[in-house]
Amino acid sequence: MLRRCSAVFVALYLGTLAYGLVSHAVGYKTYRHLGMYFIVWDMYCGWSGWETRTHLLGEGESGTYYELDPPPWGDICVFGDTGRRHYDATGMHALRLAQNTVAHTEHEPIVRYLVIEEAWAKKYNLPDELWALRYEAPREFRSYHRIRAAFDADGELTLGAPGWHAWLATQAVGNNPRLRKDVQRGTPVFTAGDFARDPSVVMPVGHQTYSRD
Amino acid sequence: MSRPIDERAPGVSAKIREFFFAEEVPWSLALLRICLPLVLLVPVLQRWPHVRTLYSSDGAPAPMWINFGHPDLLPIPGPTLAVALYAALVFCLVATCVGWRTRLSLAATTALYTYFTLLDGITTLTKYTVIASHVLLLLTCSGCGTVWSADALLARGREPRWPGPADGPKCPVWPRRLIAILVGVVYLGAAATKMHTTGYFSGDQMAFWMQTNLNMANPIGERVSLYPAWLVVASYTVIIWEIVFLFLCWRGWGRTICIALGYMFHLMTGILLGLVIFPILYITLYLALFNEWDIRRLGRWLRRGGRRFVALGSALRVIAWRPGLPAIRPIQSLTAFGTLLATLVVANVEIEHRRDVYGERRPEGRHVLQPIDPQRLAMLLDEAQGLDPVDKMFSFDIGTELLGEVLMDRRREFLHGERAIIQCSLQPSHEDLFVEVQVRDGGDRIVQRTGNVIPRENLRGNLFYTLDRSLEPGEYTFVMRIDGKEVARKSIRLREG
Repeated sequence: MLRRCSAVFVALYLGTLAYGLVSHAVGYKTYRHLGMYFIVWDMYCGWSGWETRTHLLGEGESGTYYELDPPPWGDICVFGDTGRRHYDATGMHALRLAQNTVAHTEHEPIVRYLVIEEAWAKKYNLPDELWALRYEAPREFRSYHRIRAAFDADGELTLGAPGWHAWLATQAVGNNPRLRKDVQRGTPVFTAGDFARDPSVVMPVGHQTYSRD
Repeated sequence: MSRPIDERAPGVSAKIREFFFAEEVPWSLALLRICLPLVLLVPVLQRWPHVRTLYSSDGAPAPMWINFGHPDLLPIPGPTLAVALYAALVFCLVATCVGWRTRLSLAATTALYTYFTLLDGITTLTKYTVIASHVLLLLTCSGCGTVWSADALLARGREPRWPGPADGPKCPVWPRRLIAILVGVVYLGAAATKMHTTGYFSGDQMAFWMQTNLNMANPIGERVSLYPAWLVVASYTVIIWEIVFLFLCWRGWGRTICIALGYMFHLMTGILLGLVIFPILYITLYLALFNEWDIRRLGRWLRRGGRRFVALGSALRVIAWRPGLPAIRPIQSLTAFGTLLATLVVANVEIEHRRDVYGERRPEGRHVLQPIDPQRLAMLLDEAQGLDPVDKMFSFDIGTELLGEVLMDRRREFLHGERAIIQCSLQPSHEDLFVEVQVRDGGDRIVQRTGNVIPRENLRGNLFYTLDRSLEPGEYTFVMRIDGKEVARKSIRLREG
């Protein structure tokens, strides 16, 4: 009996591993549910030429802004010296991080939360001696900021914008007068796939806009 | 002595049966049971002071199930419960390591570890925690607690000497096989990921990763990122090794080579990419590739070494020492286990309460939010509308030989008649770009102009330029321009050939 149960377990386990492998290889329901995270081995997939960081701001009813992370009691850095908020690649948990600081501090009523993404080219991460080996021009660090989301006092989303990589891909695709003209005409609408394997892939997501006439 | 079970060779169905259901003394799984919790305790203890924030409803947990669109899949514990359960997790990891109430400890560890990792999808859950959850589950099903464990020691007489001539309790080999298969399947999955990843085979993706500051410091990786030709060679080597690992890791030279390459690969991920726990954990899992026969052979080598080297012999005697404990009944062991666990849990809850992580019971009162510096605020709210052309450029190099898509030799000196390859590498993602390259003489006067269109699906463009005798020997500068703006320059010296 025990051996039979073991055989069933072995078969189920191997079947599950095989399903995850095939699902990932051919892109079939790869991220359909949480269980897939346990059988899809997609390490190293999200690395790009840009380093990004997240900043969380709260706006008081007086119009004063407060930086909500790192909190006054200290940052949580588990990988080197980078704070926890920066690992939230999707920005899905940023509001909760901000609200936690608000919940445990004294302050005027907060009426708005802002999630700001900062990005810079990774070449600026090189230390000076390596920079000098690679580039003749002196380093002039430059980073870009974009508001990724805004929430009202109750945590309702009032503004949502694509993340840095999606925005950049959209900019790259949209830099085409003919395409822009077509988009303005209303058909078809194109966008860059946020999760596409190739940043150059163009995915049609819209089809028709209806005339008011 | 019988042959190792890995080397017996009957018919196909019998072979499969033998592969999974042969029996052996689970020395290697016992080693894995000892080592794995020690590795996992490093990140677990690192997060212990932050349990309230990371995993409780009084903090800012980031449940992974939300990312998958299941907002209420599992409950988020209150702070006291989270702290208590986390203490239980630490206790169970230690108990697993020493093999005390092994199966119970492993089952509890599997459940608690997986739950806590899922509660924090941004700084706790990673693929190594997922792999660890798999292995903990498989160890729970195994007989890894029957040897080299407190359980065996407490039930005196059940503990065989290592590696005894006779045999300890034998268990089916399938949990070890499944762990070994998991190791290989993860490599196969990683290979599939690499095949999907743009820029993997050109070394770009690895170079960008080496320049990333999200893992631990990796100064050697930053330096290696400047030599992309090495990364091209490494990319192909790694992917071939990852694909064949599952098929060659079972016996003979294939196993030796696969494991040796594996040690090297994981060591390099530590040095070049700044990973720490993942490589240590994965190398630990290689223990599942060793059978009873291998451990016996290791024992013989160690014994022989112990006779030759005094220090090693002394160390072996310390390891082999067994305290003269009276036999303890299972119920007594379980009672002591429960009592210690309860004590640790209560103590941890009390200590955590006194720590007052948010400073809400400080004499001076709760923390007060301070307004942000106006200059910093202005900088954060200054929204980008486009990129400066300099930031569309990743690198600008001149050489003469290509490997794959990248320059093998970046050079500053050239001879008359040589054909220079001018390589313009761009940051992803970029629009279709015309990249202009100017050749300037020592007085910074333009001698020649050329250019190339780099479509948005390419990360680099090459220009071939013959340094013929129309150019006088001397100093020259190549200037890369995008959108009419200089973004990089490279100086060379041209000599008589």
